[in-house]
Amino acid sequence: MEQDELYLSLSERLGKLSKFPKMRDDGKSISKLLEENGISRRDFMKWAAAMTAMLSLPASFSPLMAKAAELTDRLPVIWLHMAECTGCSESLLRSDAPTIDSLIFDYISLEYHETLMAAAGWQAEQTLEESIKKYKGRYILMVEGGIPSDDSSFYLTVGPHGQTGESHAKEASDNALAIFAIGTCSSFGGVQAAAPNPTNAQPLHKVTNKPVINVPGCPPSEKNIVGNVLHYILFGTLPALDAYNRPKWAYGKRIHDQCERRGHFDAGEFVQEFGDEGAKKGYCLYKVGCKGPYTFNNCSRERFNQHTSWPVQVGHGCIGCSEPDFWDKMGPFESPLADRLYHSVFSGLGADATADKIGATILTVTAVGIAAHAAISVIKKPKE
Amino acid sequence: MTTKEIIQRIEGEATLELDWEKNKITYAKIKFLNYRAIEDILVGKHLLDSLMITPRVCGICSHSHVNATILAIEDCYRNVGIDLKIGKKAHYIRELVLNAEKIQNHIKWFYFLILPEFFKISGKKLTQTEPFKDREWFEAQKALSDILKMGAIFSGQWPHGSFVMPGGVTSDPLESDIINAKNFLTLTKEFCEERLYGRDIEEFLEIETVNDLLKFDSTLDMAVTHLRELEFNKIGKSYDRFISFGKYGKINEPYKAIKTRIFKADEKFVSESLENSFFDKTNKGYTYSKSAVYKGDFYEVGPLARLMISKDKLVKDCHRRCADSVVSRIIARVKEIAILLKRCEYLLQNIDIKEKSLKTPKFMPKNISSNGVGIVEAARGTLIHKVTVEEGKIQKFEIIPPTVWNLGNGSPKNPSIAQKAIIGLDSIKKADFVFKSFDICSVCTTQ
Repeated sequence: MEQDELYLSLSERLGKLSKFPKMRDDGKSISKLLEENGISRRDFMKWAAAMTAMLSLPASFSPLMAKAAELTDRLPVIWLHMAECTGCSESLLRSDAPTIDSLIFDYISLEYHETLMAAAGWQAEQTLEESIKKYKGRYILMVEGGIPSDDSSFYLTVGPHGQTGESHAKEASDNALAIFAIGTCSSFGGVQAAAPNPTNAQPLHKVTNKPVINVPGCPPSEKNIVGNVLHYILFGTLPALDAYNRPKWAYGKRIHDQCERRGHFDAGEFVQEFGDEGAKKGYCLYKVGCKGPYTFNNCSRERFNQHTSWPVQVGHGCIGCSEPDFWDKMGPFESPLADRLYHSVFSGLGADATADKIGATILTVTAVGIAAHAAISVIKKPKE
Repeated sequence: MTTKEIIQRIEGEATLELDWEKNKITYAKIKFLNYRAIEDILVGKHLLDSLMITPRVCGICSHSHVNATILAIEDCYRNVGIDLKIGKKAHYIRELVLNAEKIQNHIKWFYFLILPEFFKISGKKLTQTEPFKDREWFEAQKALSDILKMGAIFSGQWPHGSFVMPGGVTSDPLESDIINAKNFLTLTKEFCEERLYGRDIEEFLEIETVNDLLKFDSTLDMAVTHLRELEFNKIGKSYDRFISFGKYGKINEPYKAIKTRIFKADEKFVSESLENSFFDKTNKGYTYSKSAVYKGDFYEVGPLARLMISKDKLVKDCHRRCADSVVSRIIARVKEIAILLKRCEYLLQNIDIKEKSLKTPKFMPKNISSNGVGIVEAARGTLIHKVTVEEGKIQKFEIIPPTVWNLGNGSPKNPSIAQKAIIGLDSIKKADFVFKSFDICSVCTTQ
């Protein structure tokens, strides 16, 4: 019953959205675009089904997902770059193409994106100002990069008026319909916020008072971005979030939970050092520093570069890149966290202090279990 | 009169401040106004953590950075008397991953950053390459994603793969991985043959003169023809001085070239000047970018420099006709795609999967005190990492990215490579395009 009601309300929402004007100037539909790139309707429906499953919706919702994808040109998207490496844009927009995900991203009415947009220079800056005014309260804002703040905000100035990145982000956030922090930098501060944080880089949620959905990862997977946009188009509300404002459908499980090397962990088979026999056999990487047990993300399921590979597959552990302050908390990256977790700094991280406490508690409990297991496994497993 | 122009559709954002006199540019200030202080963040971190941190300098050349860092770390070992003896397989895999990134970068630069600009200047629409709309644009996108997948098979992901460790690489490819990689390589190669070059790679690589190049109906031929009509073979010229330090093709040693004369070079003469940057004590700085100089002189780095130094016949013919102009830079960069594709084929064919990927060092760098230098030829040119480490902790880390060689700021008397190429032009559009011919990346430049 509940399911039927949800189905109806979502259909209604999509019906309303479809009455919005199309924003692409050539008026091309997504079906046409897919067809031109050799993707059949059948492939598209398969993709919609996979996307539906990823967002934890019942399979019968696939047609709605397809419809939502077709409507991605009705909501304007503004993408801002702050202090960052442009890696999120690189990985998301172009490294996975032209699959349906990336085509949909090309199809979205991206009003402003420094690198990708058609306009450039002054014209582009005007586009941004106009878009913010024209679509006031109606656009989706995506921000990539950490934001040098307060007295340090001069470390990033953008645009013709020499505005600081901070005021830029604030202004764009104030008038946005929904805000996504893309990547670890924008979600938690990222590499530039690593100790001693010389430029006082802050996450987006510290700069604005509006709710921010964090989509961390360094880089995050393209599936997680597109999934968020589709979720928003379908529901028009924020998804269920965890303590760090990450959507649960993507960040609900640990890397460790779905890892392809998990069997070796359970069997107590570990790589003791890089290049040993265990490494050749694909054993668990915990003892050479894998942070999979403490990291919430879906890399082990979705992988990168269109499902080609991911770090654990090529024999290097997870570095915990979708966790708050992982640069300072998870290093050194080649040795296990184990009991060091007790000595790490947890203050001032994440969405708020309560979230930190909860996060820390969850992590510590896991850490005790993991460390104990690893210790026992040494005793249990005689040396060959 | 002074004008200010925001440069976009590059990696990041830059500002060109131009001085004008009688409709000619008399001086140009190149400003990069973003700074993250990655070098400061590295201080105090564990040596191996630099393998995670330095790739984050840049999202488009992260694997060049990780390669430079691992070479610097291995140099640290060498300087305390331990030769890690990296195997052939590990060398090959590192090079494959790096080449995938370079090919990707060059295709992206040509299709996404150069062609759209270029058609804007001419006002004519020549090919099916309009962003977000035309088929070839989408095909280029597929081609570069395929080559990245080839790299990702060995590096785990792109960008920011973690796959190198002192002593080799962590990835242990199977025969099936090699077959997959070959498949992705072929897909990219086919795109280049069909669209970009209009002929087989082998055939293209044999072309020795620009006139022979222009006989086909390909996107490259069309672009070059058109650029010549617009006289870009005459503008954008700089000092005609080139430098290349890393391993590249048959070149294993650092060389510099002054016009076509080639001399040996040495890393110890490279220095970073703080002049004009905010870090300069005179308080007259206006940008976060530093400038790299060799014995006080500016040298151009990048594909044109590499191909001039390795005496590539096509590029030398082009250079004879139009020196170090925009057209030479474009031909060199696009030619390099073919050379790299060919090299990847060889590497994939010759990886011995039975060989050990990584020879574990006798001790991990927990207590190492040493210093080391790592040099890599990245997509945009020579990338240098220098590290000083004490008891396993980084004391100092210096990153000299390729872009500070080309895009630094000198003085009106001694302008930098890009400044010299811009001075004397008569329109902002031209200045913008000449600037972009260097392949700009603001995030590397300032870190």
